[in-house]
Amino acid sequence: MANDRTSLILRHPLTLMTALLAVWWLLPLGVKAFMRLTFWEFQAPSYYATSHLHDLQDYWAARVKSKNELIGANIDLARLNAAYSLRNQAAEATEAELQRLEELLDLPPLPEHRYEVARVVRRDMNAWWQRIIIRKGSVHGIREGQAVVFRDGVVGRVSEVYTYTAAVELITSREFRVAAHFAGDPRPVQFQGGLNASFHAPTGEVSTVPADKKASLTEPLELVSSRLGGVFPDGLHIGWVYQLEPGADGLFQSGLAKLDPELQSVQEVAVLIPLKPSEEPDIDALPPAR
Amino acid sequence: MKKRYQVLSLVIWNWVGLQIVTEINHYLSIWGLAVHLDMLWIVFAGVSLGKRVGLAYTFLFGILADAHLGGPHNLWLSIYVVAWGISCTARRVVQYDSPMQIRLFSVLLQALTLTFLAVALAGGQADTFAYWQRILIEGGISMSLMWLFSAPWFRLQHRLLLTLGWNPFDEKPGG
Repeated sequence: MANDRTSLILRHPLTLMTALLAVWWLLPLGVKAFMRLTFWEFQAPSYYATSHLHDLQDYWAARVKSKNELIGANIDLARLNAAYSLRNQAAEATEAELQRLEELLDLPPLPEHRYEVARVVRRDMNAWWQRIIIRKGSVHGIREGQAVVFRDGVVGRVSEVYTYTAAVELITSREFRVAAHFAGDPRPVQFQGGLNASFHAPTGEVSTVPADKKASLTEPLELVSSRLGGVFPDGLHIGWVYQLEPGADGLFQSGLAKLDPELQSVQEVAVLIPLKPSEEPDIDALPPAR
Repeated sequence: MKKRYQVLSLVIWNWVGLQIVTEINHYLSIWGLAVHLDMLWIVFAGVSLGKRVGLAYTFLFGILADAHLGGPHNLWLSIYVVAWGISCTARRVVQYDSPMQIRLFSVLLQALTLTFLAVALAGGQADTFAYWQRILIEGGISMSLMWLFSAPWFRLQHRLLLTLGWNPFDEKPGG
């Protein structure tokens, strides 16, 4: 009887398929998460190998460049170094001024980060999700939710962490939402990624923009990160807004933010690792309101 | 060689294929494109392997793909198992020795998968032109590649199993 039932199941692939999926879906989430983690770690060495092959490919591509090209690149780098040294001096002066003001006003210090630079192993971007896999993981101090940046601004947020690799959800992803503001205006707005047409620069949506803001093709507004969400430091470039339209309520506006096309070919990023764990502010220690 | 090792070899073979497609997508991301060739890994198991062996292969490959590819948990496992079920049911119609039928069936199954993904994962983008334009472009490229590669990939999988001493076409279906 039991054999008959088994052979009946085996004769019908759709029954077999439904039975398997039902058993799988009924398994506890912990078991499935463990299997996913195990299978990821099992495949991780291949990601590492592929990434090192990319590096080797870049190395050989650089080897075929002529001496003149390399000398030109060297001169460009020297100019950049000079510019960055000047900017470093300015940043140090600003930092000192900030510390002086913090001490004067008895303000809590701003959260500090260290930068963990990581190579991009794989870019996994399609119409439904946009993520990159980086060659650094939990052993390098990376944790879920940490901010990821690159030379042109915000890249995204760490979404999954494994031992030697991590997945980063890009700001171009539909699921990505973050508080932001326009450069020079501290009022917060909301940014959400997600409109990514082929052969075009990625875009995101900006909403809850105050009604008095104006943006045009000749005078676009720069959207930068806000520290309100607790993930990103203030002032990192997100994108440019060229047009704003009033919302249905008339109080706020919304529009499209054009993001950096470099996000689609990013090769190296930096994860911002907080130096001190965030603590709840001690309300009693704050100066009394005047 | 035991059958379980032969199935494992098939998993590894297709996993290498999946890595190649992932690598192609890595470079295509610069233009905001991705290709979807998921049915390359499933149609052979559905059309020519025995049911138990085919399902075991699909399950193992689905878990591997779920960890490797993005998206909600269990998405790829579920899609692959359902695609295997459809392929298995269609084996009465699809002749494994006819490249044209394999091509047609693979393209149809891939189109079905893409349509499902496009509708199920659209979210708030369903009413935007950019989303459907991207789906159409990616779908067009993917279908063309599927038409080109499905029959040769099918044949390569068969040859791999033959090299390992197993001709699945000789077996009674259902085993």
